Amino acid sequence: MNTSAANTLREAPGHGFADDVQFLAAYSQFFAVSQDLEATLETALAGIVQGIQADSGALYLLDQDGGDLVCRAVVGFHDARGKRASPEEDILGRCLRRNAIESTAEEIGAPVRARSILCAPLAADGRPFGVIQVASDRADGSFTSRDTNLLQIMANSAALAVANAHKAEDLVRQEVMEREVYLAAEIQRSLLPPAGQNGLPIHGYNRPIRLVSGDFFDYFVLPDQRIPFALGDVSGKGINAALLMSKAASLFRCLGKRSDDPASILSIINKEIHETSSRGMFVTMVAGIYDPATGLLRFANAGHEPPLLRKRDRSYQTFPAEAPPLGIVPDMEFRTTEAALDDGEFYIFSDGLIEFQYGDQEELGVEGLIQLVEGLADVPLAERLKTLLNTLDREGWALHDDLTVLAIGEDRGRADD
Amino acid sequence: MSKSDKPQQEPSVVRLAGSVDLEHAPDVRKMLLDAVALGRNVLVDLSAASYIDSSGIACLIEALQKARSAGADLGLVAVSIQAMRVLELARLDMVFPIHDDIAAATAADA
Repeated sequence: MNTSAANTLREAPGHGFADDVQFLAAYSQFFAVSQDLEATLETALAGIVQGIQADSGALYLLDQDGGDLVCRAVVGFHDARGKRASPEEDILGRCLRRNAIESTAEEIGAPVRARSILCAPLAADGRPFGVIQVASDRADGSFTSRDTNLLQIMANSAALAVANAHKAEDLVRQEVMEREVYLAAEIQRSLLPPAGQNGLPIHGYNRPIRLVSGDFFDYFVLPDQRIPFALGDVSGKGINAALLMSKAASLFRCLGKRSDDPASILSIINKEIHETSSRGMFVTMVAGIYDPATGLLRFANAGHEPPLLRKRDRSYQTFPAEAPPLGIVPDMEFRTTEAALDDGEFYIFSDGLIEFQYGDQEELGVEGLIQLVEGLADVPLAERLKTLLNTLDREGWALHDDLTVLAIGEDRGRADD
Repeated sequence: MSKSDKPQQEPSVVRLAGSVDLEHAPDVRKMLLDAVALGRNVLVDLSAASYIDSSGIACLIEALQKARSAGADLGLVAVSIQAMRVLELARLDMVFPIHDDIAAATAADA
């Protein structure tokens, strides 16, 4: 036992009941502050060896896969540390299997002074996960019933402490993972275009259902003022979807600067994603380029939710996919579609938006989205997406998937209204 | 078994029921990959599949890719209207062979 533990426990109990109680109180109190598993194991064992005045002791825990018992702490038994014992074997295994105190009966009371051994299970929620073994070389050769009782009680509080230390370790591990996901989410957000690029006729919004998103959108301005844009949705949710999303987004960023043909951009991304595809994951995506000078939209759709064009006369046109999502079949032809924005608005969105759900049944759907957009026609496009989502939130619609929406439209002409 | 023998063999049939989604994807994936591992063509009966999401589709795609790289194929059978809508919207009808029923699928194979 380390010095501070020794100081806490001070002395081994005397032979009176009050001494035992005092000692036990100090023993269990000591654990209250310990979250370090190794220190807890050492303290637990040292306290027990001292408490029942044994000469040596060893603490075994089942290894991770619940196979062997592995010796994790020793007092005296120096060669035992790290030793593995099968739960099928000898007194250790018997104690674990029966989840009860075991002693080496053949040695107790033997004519030759022999070492007696006492084993107590360490159990949580009734399930044994380890064994504490103590040995005595006393002249009378045996442990008393007081020793057995004391061991039982101490093993119980040791088990509790070890289980707590295990939980604390799990928590720390969980926290580390959570922090990593937070960092990943931060990096991911930095891949999106910065919010509120004033003056641009294009606006995007992304809201992940978890910390990280399987959706993405991107746009940027070329030297000739044309604006390549894309919105994608990776199958599934969580980190694996987020990683593939980062790949698809990076490929678009790179290719969008080198080619102005959306179909060939999708064709290259398709091949790249297919080459390293895993678990059938795929990406639905609309990629395109908008020319503010001519109002011409050119885009291609790979298995994605049909984009919506709101025309000047308030009629809507949809553009269903003409090819499957990216990453499924290596050689796939995509087709570039042209449409004139003509003072209308162009909306691309992930299915998270139209699958917004009210109560158990009703989904927003494309019709619901159109109604919302019509209701917000007077809100400038730059604020319309946020207002639209705020409206859904306020009315109690629930999000079930990553949500991303991208809108292209010129706010010119509004001043004439 | 040579590749040319495969179409003559009875296909393995996998029936998926209920929600083929993120929650059930691990089970669905195992069923499909086990069927593909038999080396024969696989038919996935979706008549009782009420809902399919992108995680469910990913399982089907992985199985299809594994089947094709082993010289076999994977087709969908009796696709419900709801599931068909999802498949058509994403143009996955260009990827999977789709049949009305098992008999039609077997006839198409021969």
